[in-house]
Amino acid sequence: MKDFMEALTGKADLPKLANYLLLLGIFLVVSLVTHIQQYTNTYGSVYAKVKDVRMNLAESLRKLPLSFFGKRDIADLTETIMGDVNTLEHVWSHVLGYLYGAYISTAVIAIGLLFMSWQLTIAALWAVPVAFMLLFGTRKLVMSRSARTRKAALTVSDSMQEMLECAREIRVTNKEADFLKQFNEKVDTHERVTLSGELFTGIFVNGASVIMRLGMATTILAGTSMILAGTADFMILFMFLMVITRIYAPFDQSLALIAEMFMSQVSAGRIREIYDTPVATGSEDFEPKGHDIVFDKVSFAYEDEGVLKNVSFTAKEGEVTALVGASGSGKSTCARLAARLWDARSGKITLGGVDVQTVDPEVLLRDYSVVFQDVTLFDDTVMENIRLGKRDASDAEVLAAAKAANCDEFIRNLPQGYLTNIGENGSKLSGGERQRISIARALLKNAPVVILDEATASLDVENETRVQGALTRLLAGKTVLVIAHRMRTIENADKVVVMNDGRVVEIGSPADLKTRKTEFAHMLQLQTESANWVI
Amino acid sequence: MKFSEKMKQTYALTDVGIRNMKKAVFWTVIVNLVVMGGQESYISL
Repeated sequence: MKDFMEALTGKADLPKLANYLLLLGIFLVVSLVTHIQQYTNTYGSVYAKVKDVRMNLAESLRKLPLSFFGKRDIADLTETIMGDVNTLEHVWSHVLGYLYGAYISTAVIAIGLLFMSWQLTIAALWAVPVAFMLLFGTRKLVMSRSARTRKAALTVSDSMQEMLECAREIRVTNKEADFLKQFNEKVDTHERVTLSGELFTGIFVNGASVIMRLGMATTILAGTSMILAGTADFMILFMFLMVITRIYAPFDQSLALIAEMFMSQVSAGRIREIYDTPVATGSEDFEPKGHDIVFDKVSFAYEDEGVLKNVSFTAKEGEVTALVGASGSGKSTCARLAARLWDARSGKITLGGVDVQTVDPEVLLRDYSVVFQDVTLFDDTVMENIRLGKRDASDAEVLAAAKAANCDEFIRNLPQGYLTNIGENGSKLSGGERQRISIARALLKNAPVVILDEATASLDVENETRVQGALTRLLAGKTVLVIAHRMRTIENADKVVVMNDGRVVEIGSPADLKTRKTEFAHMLQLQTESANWVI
Repeated sequence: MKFSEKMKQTYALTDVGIRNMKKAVFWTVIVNLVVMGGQESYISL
């Protein structure tokens, strides 16, 4: 370069180009190879792993106790899997490697520059730590703004989800205008919070960028002073100016992204909350002796609210045990604890003599068929929705289960029979049809323990009769735990456990309990009065 | 707390993520040095 400068100023002949071209070629090849490596190890590796991160999160969520879902709702968790992972993906790929790499390379180059001119090095690099100190000093403020923005975004998505889920209620109560107004206010708040957050961050990021540019000015000032004083030559200043533009380039880019790095810590915290919540684990070796379910002094609470207090009873194999009681008495909680959908706080629940809390939930649930009042169906064909009961079931087995559950007739009347897609959560079917499909699933699974949680509560008389026929076939010879409000449905139960305010208040056969004239007899009387009520 | 542990906590990185990040930092340093070193050597010539 010096030769060229001297040639340009007429002091010497032009140097041979071949050496320079050779050097340029080597530089281009090395630069290309290292850039490819950098790309592969930053963007490439992150993009390849993001799918795994989402899958790991989904897998963690699947194993978490159901109590976790009381703390974080569906919209919130969906936002974590999609939005928070997206935010972090950008930080992992575009910020972390780039920023920390820039720190190290700048330090190395600064050491090299110090040997050439320590005065110019200080003049060139003083601005870098000052700019970063300004940004790191405002980190907590940026993070709190980010948390506010995230909260406002979640309020909007919660509101949207509520509007979609409650569309029917909103329409029949004529509240569309009110809901739209509320939704509009939430969107406006989100917009306002986002803009103020961006503005706040922008002020500090641009301030830091301006400080960094001052480094260039101080280098020129110091360099020209030194040239005039004869302590440095022009080529040194020229080299410093070239180098600092390269040093500033990654930092400049990082400054714009550093705010995103701080904000991403809010997203990381939400992801860590999922990873750090203990999952329900247990042994995969499960060999129960029979299938009696025994509750032994079981207590349970949601957060601090006590739901079950010292509950003890036995549901014997081959018998139907009915749990009855007022709403909120703890019946459904008992059923969910029996299947280890939650873990008891104290006491012990055993299935066939084995403490359910020592068994892996997935292994334990192989022995359970659960039919809920609210049936969940998938946006798939009827055939596949029934096959969920037993993944390796043949089509013939699915058809047999559907016939036993009184489904066959209505399924054959669907446009494509068993291959008809039933829409999101079975939206194309009636309540009774959906319930019978869930019973067909349970029949196909043929598990030794059956839990019926208000399985027929919302059905009309015709559908209830059909479902009851299917249930009779499902329950034969099993350990059955039934939760029912209608006393008529448990008349033939072998045992009734009456619950009140989280405690067992009576146990006995229906006939026995009727004669005692206590809680069960009182409930029977109330239902009889209710049945006789007319408008 | 070790740097890598802190990074795992702060940015929800896994062990694989930390390994990838170290590689990314290494290659970024190399790229920056190559680019700046290239310029410096040209000027020095």
